[in-house]
Amino acid sequence: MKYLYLFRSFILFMLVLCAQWILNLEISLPMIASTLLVGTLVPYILFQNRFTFFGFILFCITIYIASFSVQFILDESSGAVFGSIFLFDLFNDSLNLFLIGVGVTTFISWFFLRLPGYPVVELLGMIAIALGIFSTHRNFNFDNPKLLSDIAWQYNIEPLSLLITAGFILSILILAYSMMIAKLEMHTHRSMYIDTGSSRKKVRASFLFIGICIIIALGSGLYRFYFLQQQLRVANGVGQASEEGVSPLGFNSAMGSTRQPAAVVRLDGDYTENPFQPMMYLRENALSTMANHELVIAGGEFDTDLHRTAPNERYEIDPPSVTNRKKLSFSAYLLTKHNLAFAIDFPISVSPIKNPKPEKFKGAFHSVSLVPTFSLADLNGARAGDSSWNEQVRAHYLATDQDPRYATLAARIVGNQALSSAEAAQKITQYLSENSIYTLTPNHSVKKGDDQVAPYLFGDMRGYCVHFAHATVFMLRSLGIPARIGTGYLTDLSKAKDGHLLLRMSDRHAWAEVYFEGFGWIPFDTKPTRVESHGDSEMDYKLLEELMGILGNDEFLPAEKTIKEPGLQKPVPFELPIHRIPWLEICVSICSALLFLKLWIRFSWKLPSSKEKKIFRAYRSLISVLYDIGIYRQRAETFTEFQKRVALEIPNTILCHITPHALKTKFSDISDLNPETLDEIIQSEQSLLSQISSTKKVIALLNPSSCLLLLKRSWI
Amino acid sequence: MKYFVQYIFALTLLFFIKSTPLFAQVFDPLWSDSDSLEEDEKLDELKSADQLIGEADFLLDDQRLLDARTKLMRALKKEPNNYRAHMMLSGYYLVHVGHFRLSLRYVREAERLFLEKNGPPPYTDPRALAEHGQILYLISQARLNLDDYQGALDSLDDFERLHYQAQWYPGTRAWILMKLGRIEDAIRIARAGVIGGAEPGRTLNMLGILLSMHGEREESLSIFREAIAWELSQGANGQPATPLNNSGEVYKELFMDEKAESNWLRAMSMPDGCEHILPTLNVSLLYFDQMNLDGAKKAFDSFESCVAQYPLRNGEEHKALLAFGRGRILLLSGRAEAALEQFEQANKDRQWFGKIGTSEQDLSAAILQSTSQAHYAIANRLKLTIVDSVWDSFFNIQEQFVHRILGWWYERKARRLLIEVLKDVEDISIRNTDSLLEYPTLGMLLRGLSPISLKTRIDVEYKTDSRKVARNFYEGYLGENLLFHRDETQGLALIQNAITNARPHFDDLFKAHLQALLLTRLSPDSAAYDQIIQELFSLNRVLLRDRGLALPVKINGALSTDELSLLRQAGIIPSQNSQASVEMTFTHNQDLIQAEVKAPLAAGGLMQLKGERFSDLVNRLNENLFSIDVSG
Repeated sequence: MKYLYLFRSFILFMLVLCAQWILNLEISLPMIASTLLVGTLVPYILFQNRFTFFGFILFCITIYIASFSVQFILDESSGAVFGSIFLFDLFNDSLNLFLIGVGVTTFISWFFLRLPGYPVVELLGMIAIALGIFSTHRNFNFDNPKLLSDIAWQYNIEPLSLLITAGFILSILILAYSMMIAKLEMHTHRSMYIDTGSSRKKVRASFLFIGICIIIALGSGLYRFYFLQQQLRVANGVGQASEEGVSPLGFNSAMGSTRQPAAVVRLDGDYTENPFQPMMYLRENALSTMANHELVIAGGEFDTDLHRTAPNERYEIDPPSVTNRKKLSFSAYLLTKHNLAFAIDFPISVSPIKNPKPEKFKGAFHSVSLVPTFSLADLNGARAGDSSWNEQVRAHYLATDQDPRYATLAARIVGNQALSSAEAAQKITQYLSENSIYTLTPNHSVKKGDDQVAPYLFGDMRGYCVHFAHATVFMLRSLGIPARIGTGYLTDLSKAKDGHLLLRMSDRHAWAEVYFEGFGWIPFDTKPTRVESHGDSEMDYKLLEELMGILGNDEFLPAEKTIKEPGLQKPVPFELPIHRIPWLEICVSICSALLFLKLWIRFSWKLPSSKEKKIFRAYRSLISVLYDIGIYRQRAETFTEFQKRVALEIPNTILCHITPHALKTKFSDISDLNPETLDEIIQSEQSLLSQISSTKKVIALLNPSSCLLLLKRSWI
Repeated sequence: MKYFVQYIFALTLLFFIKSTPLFAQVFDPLWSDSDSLEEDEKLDELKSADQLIGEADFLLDDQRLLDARTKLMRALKKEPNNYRAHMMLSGYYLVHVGHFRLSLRYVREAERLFLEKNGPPPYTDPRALAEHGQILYLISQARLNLDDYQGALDSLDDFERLHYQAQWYPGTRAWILMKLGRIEDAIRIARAGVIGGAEPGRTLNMLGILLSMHGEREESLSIFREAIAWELSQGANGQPATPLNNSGEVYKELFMDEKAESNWLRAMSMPDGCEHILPTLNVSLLYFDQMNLDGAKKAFDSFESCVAQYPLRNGEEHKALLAFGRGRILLLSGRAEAALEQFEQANKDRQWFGKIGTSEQDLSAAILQSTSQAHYAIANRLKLTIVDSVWDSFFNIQEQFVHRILGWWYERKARRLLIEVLKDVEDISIRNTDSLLEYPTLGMLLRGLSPISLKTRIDVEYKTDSRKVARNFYEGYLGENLLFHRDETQGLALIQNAITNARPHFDDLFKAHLQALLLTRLSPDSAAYDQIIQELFSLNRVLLRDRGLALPVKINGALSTDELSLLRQAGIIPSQNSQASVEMTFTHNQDLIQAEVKAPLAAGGLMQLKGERFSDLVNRLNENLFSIDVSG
């Protein structure tokens, strides 16, 4: 009881600390500690002194009246006592806070001590909190609540690893708490066990052991599963893999809501001519191949403007001679793993640079792009597509979904007016912006391989960027306008600090693009006015400033040094080693070993051997069955007493026959047991097993505690 | 003739050379092949670090900030030990970015490199002298912005000890002394600076602020007049908005609200009017006091459209204050939920206070108290909302409880902040220009303090403050506090007195707040209640719902007992008083119920609503009648 109470108080303290961290309560640590100490100690003392509930209430009322009297007296003489004008008010406020804290803690502790069943309520509460915390982290959403992401960031621990470890610790705590509660309950309700002492301890220890093994195995499995998922998602960005499960529209929207920092971008020059002011598109890849009902990454012969270069690789082309663009360079410092470097519009070079702090960044690269300086109004006279394209390329960018509704809707939106391609694209984007509802959870029920855009566009108009981009491209292509989807980051330049931008996972974006001769691929992005749910895209200036302080001067790496540069190697942040240990294999091995031992104990007497050994093993087998169903020899109980007790519990057992033989074998190594008696033992055991319910049999099979019989010689 | 031909030839040659890139590369520091940044980078490799620093200087003047930063970084890459590049970067982060820690880091490095190169002071080389002085200035400024006032003063002491002289020195020293609370020393330094002709605009402005803080308001106004005249004489380079704003604050302290308003409006219309948000914020706070929410909204709109002219400004220095101001408008217009969102935003946005005297704590206290007020307002409105089922009623009560708890929690946090950080509630001093809270709001905050403490604190003000109008506010505070602590007789007397002495129009919010307080102590059926509430309705009808006060209304039309009971539940009491400001006519038309409200409202005084269910209709009526539309 005492230990359980201490353990519970510790959990309570941890919970309040977490609440303080998450909700920013701004209560000092000594205040929390003293409140909890008094709030748990007082009811325990009262409980030990056998206070009734009425007595407890009276005690609380007396304390409160006393404290208010003190406050009143001090109030009357505040100037004289405190000297400073408002010191009394500060004291008063702290005292009130303390009293409220103590009051709440005292009451719940009292209930815990006096109300049978209340600990179960607390346990359920703990489980609910754990579920609440971990369910908000679903789908790699590490930032809600911020507690775990903050710790991960502060101590440079990989977030997924931290999350799984936290889950593991919490599960163990809950398991331990539940077992301690079970013990408490058993004090009040006599259990079915004959033994009320050490036997239960063994059962509990066995179950705790199994529980921990299961939790470890689960944690390890979960880590492996989600680590793979995370790698795929983070590395490929928004919809850049065409495999099932990570295809663009299958991309789990919750990923877009995470505030996890992805990269810091430092612009090297002013960009006042930005036609998309204040937004800036950082393209990483594009989707242009029509595959079934969705767009996927095209082969190398298409989308040749993309560099498709990894951050640690080099890319350089001769800049084409264009008049409506200028060069703009930036450096990107990656905070999460990226398979591809990103760039503003039309990149002409990407080169790796020295990682300023390998413990913080996963890599860094420098990119130079030809960025647009024209106005979007200039596009009105431009021709969509490129005259240099051959038929195959043209057909590639015009391939659309076979559903005729896209063409019909596109024609309806554009109307009968003779519009330029840019105007048509704007009209479609405007239509979608006005009618769409942005949500991270569209919850459309679409079968595998079916069109995922149609339920959005011809249904409830609820979706996210990938839906909008697909719908725009399908409609544009149906009008004969070559289009594709650009993927990467969308960021707000007005949120930049000294040209530094902090990109987050929630900034990952997909948008429609149209090719205009002489201008290149131009984004036409849907911005819904109605927003149902959206990721937090607030710039964390504190973090940005911290990172800005780390960045120094970019140092370009010579080509041969690129791969060897430590910062560009696989990042080596501190990761909790839980996933590195083959927990599953270890658990399976242990379980297999236990099972083998169990089988050996139970059935080894059937193997050919000397008569004495056979008797010995048969007795052990019988004892092990009894052990597994909870019938043990007590401390200081003689074999004969035990034999009698067993006979009372399970009639018709022949333990009384075999025990003397077993003892004789033990002490004299000679047995006068004939083979017929041995057969009797077999039959008795069978009859004994038939008396046990099947549930008990399953439990007995899973219970590894009888394996201890091999280690412990005191069974006989 | 020969020389003439040679001269013409030379000129022609020069003309051709000038038009070539080579000339530009050599002689024009801003030269850049417009479409080639990479080539520019290659070209930069050929330049010396000092050349790059010179180019960065020009680029900074041209407001091409990122280009300038890139040049400086390239200079550092070339010469990592170049202290001038470090100095420039420190200045860049100090002035243009507001990243003070980085600025301090660069200048400390610059100082180390400088001392390494030139040895310890004193110096004989004039350039080294000037540069060392500049380093000390940058250190003091960075420390000042990081709230290390003593450190900043130490740097200036070093400056003085070495007998350096600079135009910026008196103004800067005076400002730091002011921050350290050494007002008299600061005034002495600023006066000496003015006499010595050091940076007249800045030093005069500084002196004006100090004098007003010292209670010499008349003299401070005349100093500000000089500062304004000087700034205006500087043409496009002048910054008259700052002294105009400050003089407005002094007028406000003198309770000359009209003059204050005109100064702030003038400051807002100046070319540097949206350099910082203070004139806008000040004028809107003044409008809050007058319950002119439209005016406040227009002031913020105008500021935002002014800022929109500068796409490179990310608004970091005003975002939080802007969100706070908009939140206050929403709260005072009866939209507490929307106000909460704005306060949350204001709390989230990082505020850069480098350019203004208001501190982060002032804003924090104001946000906390406003959030508390919004929670209480929501709880009170919920109390007067009609619910249909027991289940809804349970949720309504639960929501009220949560809002009240949150209201209490934020209020106590604000109170602690005011006591612990803001020098024993410095905001009590009426017209303290740092305060972002109107006086009624502050009154709500102060009522939680012990009456003895508050009285002691107010006595301090009484001793130093002879302004008549200010004393009225102090009485209001004390009255509210006493009333809250159950000293009804004295509290009510003080409140009554404050209401009588409140200035019409300028103190409308204050008066309405006190009237609402009085009403909480009166029975809704009493004649006194009826009389006060009719006046309050015309002054500030939003308060009626935000404080959960019932309004006696003249009801026309046949209503059932149940319907009358629902009306009472919603805080609308049928009254036979012919003087009632609000008249409601209910007509049942088949399945529809129509309500027509005649009230002294801005929009013609007539409001019509229709609904199928009486309870919904009354809830909508409450929502529409007791809020102010400031969307236009």
